[in-house]
Amino acid sequence: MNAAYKIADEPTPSRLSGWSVRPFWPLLGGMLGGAWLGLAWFAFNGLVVGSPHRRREVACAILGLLGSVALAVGVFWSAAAFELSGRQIKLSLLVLTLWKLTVYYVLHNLQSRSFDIYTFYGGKTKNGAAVALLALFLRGKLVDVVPTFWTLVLL
Amino acid sequence: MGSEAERNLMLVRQQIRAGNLSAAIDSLRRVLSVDPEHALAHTLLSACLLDQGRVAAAEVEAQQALALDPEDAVSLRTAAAVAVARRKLDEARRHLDAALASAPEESATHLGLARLHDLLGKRAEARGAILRALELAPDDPEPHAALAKHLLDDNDLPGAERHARDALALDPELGDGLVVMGHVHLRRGEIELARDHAVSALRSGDGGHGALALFAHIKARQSPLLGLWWRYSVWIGALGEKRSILVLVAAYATYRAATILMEGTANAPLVPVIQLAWLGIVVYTWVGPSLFRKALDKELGAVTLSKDY
Repeated sequence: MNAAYKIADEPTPSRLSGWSVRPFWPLLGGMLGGAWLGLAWFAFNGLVVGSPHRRREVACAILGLLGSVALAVGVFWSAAAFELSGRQIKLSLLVLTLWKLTVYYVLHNLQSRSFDIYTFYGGKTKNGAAVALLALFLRGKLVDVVPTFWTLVLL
Repeated sequence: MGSEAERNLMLVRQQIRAGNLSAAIDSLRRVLSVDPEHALAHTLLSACLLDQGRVAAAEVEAQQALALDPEDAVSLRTAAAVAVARRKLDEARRHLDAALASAPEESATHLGLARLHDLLGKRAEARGAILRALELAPDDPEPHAALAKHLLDDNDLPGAERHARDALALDPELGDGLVVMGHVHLRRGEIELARDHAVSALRSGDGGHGALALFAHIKARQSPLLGLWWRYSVWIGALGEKRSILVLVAAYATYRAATILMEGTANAPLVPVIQLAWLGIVVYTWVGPSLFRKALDKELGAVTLSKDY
């Protein structure tokens, strides 16, 4: 008996694959709730669906986080070193937002392909709307308790 | 075992002709499970995956087919089509040259070359390659349909119609021929006839993407708001993955930078207006695709061929 031939882009779903969501929801989760949710959710999603790019997706999420840390350090340092005005600080923080946005889009595109195949072959998914909305609510609470530096990195 | 593989491949060809790519892929999977070194099965699988838009997997299969049979013209043509889809045009040219060297009289290779020339903007060379294909296989409907499409792109509607009709006389269910005829009717404002051709192409199972694109064009013509989304999505899709991400991020950067720079200036009252406009764009691009798909599904479900078709 031969094992079924496997096509290169087909995912290998795990037992937790029923907890996966369409990649749109981690994208929205990241935008509404912050990087703490978006990046972690993308990584979880890729792992449970068994995406063929899961290593690249996890690496991309880690890189996204490290990049955010580096950019936040850069903003803090330049604000102190060059005595930036409020408007200049806002503009430099925009770079941090754009970085996160780029990482979300890259992860979304990477994951969408294997996800389409997963659902095409009957793979089950959950609706992530509730989590994304909860994240939006939590974001407001977290801003008050998380230190400023980590707010910039994770929210 | 060999005859079973042959039977399966015959079934695959029928499934591909009927436009049932998923079934064809399942059949090919069975063939390759038994014989992973079946070059033709890899080639057919590559073609099916390419048609489904699974370009990365199609490339893997095309490479495996070529590794097993490097001089097979069909494998080389398929590998060229995959390379075109990945915008590796030099590689596509190499594969097509090799296919021509291996079987110079096959019209399909000349048609592949015509598509490549078209992408490179070499219209005269593209037409030359199509005419060569037509010369080699005058009874094959494909070169007629390719010439019809070429003439349509040149806005030569009578020429496009003539060759599309020639193609359809040879094969009344040829998807490409039906799609070109549909576009001819659409450009003449004959919406119902255009729609009938799109439906026929879809029903033939051979029209695939072209037929759906024709349908979408018709819908876009009927509804300006959805048409705007269609044009936007065609434009952003044509940019490719990396450039589309850059465009989206740049659009957000421009919006945010503009609002930050306007705060505390004489233009500050404009900020809420810009924010509202941005929100409108976000909502529109969010709901646009589902509205468009719903409209298209409704159309596909309700459509019937007109009496005079």
